[in-house]
Amino acid sequence: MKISMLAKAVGIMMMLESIALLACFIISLIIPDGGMDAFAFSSVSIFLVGFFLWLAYRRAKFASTARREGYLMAPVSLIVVILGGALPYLLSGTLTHFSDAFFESTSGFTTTGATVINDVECLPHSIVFWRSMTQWLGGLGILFLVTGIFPYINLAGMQLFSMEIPGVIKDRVHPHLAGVAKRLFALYFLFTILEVVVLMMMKIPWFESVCFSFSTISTGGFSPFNDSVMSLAPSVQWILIIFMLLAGMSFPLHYFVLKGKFIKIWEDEEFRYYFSLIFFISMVTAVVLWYAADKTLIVSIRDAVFQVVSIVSTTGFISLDVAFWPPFLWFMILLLLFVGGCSGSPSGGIKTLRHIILFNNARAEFRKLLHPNAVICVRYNDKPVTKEFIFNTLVFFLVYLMIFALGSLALSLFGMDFISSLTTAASTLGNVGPGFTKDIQNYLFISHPIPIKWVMVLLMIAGRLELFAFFIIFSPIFWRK
Amino acid sequence: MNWKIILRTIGILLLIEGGFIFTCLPFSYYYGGDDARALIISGVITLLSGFSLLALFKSSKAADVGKKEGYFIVASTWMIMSLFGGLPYMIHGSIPSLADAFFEAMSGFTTTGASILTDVEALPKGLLFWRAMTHWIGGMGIIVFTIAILPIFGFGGMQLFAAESPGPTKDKLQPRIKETARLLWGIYVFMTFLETILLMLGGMNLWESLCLTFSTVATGGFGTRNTSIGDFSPFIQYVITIFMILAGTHFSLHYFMIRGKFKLVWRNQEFRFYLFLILISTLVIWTALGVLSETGIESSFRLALFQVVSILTTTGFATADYLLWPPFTWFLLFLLMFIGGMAGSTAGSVKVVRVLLFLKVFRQQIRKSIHPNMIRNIMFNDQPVQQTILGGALTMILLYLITFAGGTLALIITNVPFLDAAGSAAACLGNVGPGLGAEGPVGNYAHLTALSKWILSILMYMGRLELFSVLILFAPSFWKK
Repeated sequence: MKISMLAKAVGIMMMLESIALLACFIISLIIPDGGMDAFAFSSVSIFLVGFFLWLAYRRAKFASTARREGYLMAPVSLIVVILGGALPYLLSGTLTHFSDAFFESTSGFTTTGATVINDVECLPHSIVFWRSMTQWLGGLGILFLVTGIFPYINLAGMQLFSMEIPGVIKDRVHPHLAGVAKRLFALYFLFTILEVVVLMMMKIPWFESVCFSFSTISTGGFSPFNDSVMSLAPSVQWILIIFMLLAGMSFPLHYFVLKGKFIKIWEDEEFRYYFSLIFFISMVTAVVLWYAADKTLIVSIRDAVFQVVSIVSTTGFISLDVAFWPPFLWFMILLLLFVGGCSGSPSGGIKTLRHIILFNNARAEFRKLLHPNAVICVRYNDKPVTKEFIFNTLVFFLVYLMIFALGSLALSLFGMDFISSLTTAASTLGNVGPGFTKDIQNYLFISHPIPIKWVMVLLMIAGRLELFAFFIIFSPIFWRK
Repeated sequence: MNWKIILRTIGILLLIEGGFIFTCLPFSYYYGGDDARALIISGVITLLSGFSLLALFKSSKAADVGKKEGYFIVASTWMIMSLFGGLPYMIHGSIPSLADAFFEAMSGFTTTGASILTDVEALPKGLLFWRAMTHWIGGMGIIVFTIAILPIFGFGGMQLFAAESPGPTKDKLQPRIKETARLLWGIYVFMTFLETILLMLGGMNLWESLCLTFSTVATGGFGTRNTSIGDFSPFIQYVITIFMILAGTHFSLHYFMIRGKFKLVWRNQEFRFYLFLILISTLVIWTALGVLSETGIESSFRLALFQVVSILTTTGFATADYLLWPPFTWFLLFLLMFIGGMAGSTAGSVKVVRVLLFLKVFRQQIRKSIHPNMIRNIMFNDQPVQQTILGGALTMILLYLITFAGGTLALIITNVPFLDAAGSAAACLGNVGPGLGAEGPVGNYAHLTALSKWILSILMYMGRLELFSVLILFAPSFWKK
């Protein structure tokens, strides 16, 4: 095991994080809120540690043969960044327990959006800003991971994403990687700025606009308000819906749109499924809500669309209390937690792509029954999908469900009730955020015992790293020579 | 499709069922119950229906049973048997409605053990004997179905056992089924005989020990008392525990055991994993009970072991109300419902072997990620497993979970609360019996609406026939020439 390569990467990550912390320091300069010291200290200390790591190992080369180091890179740098991100919470006195600070930081960097902070509105502005910022950075990181790293390492069930990225051929990594990543990052910035501008045009103050924008584009879900988005005007909610939809879409696809190839977007099977699913479920939900509650049709449609988009894109904003919806809708919400956005987006969950592969496979199997002698191959976007891909997808799906079951068992072991443990496990593993039960109305997890928080932290990280990238480091043969 | 042979076979099955109904008469007379009339009438109706089918279609020869006819006979057997099996309850008037009687009979023949009776002890002894008898007949059918028929159909990865089952290996359905059935039924009857004697040694009368034996060896779960097994002595509870474990074991292993090939039994990976699951779950629950209650070490061990075995083997007997235990213990039991006993036993649900294969695949995927060039087959009992078998097994697990989710959704739509819906869907689909909430070990299914009961009956039916054998009837190709 070559530690040098890993240490160099971690050093660079830490230096980048310290720059982000510096931004929050500037915020606390603009809005004097007492967060200054915390950010100054954490920024400088993280920078110094990162700098010395880099300095010590600057000669290390990123060799493509170092498979194990490659695997360790994602989980290790994520955990280091999370640790650094927990510093400001502790130093500013926002959260006094290490577990809580680590939880909040994890929830941010994994773009989950579950929170242990009950009263966000009384926090220093810079801390609120940092909270949203962690999600934005997490989104950026995951975009890099799914489009730049995962396709090239041989993780089971990951290879599919490589089909999605324009101009990438498996064997030639480096020349394209930089270009693709740069374009996607540019898009990510563009969307963020666009949302800030639009929200400010809707008369949302600049600070809240930026916070909302950060957590929308990253499909995170932290809100600068205590009641998530419930108090926002209907028009603002519609704006958020649009940006959540965009953030849950494949970013390479956005790239095509910007280049004017609008037809590509509808030709993309994943987008079609993503969009049709959201449309169909929203309409069912709207009708049931309209029928069951005393609301106008327009309001029911907005409520339904907002909640469905928020969950499918794994953002986790809440526009109304889902726990009081009719049981049937509530169960549908629980099932939606397992869908997830498109591949190549910062969203979490199983991802629409995997559902499509399995669905197309089922259809092919059915046709095989119809014509036993015909050679039928499963297609995705008109390209044949190999048997291995399908098998890997099937395995991923089942592993995901197994982790979900074991996670909820662990949660209930530490005292969570049956229903909450199911929804919480599904929600954290899918990086959605809220608990969706009566006792956790607005995703408040502060009152839970410490072991529960750590189980949730593990689920968030496992979900974010697409399970295999996480579990691989726990397998004995990974550490064997 | 050769309808003649199908109807003829059904006729034969009805004759057998009618004959079995008459075996309940001695108990009815001995205990002086008012059920003799109902039993005679329904027995005569069943026999006459059988005779008339045979008389109408007597010319057809057994030799032309093809695969298609096989599918159809299997799928219709449980339906027709349940329809006629509900007759005694309806004619006697103890279960007047069709939905209830069909539910009870289906629950019997699928060896589920879910009951709509609020007071079991109020029923006359003859009818209770018939109730247990339906389990026993169902168990007989299942052994042949899973060991002799399923591997030939080639569903859900059960081809794994095609070469393993005792008896002559030939491609033709007919002689193979006959030979295998004779062997396995011999074992089944022997087990029944043994348990009855042991229970009588424990001080139970003939009628009750026969009833409980029928329920045990078929992994059914219908009891003779309102408290299920809770009232009986520790000796009897241990005897039943051991026989539940035996009934959840692959019947080929019993065959090997009788032939003295103990090594073969012990080297069977599925068997080991099955024992491991029982052991580990018992230990966990025992610890939870031992720490939290004052019942004493032996009795809490007995409670834990009994409940784990009862749920894992999908029997569904109860010695305590596990819903009063710490929630995570019944969460664990709930998860065990999705594993079930070994393949080739009378147990239902997913089966240990499929779960084992899934875990092996998971491990292999992680290995492959680390050493991509290492090609290694997945081994089961020292033999490589084909990819199609693995795919079949995983597909079955996924399909099972989807059916569970669909069933839960359907129950929620019919106004069953979430906890109850999830519990009873899992319990019925897995042919376990008691679920969670109001349908738990001390509850029953009586209070549900007729629609919910029909849904649950269908779930029991689908679970028993391993999903595929039901779904294939809906494939258009099945009905084509």
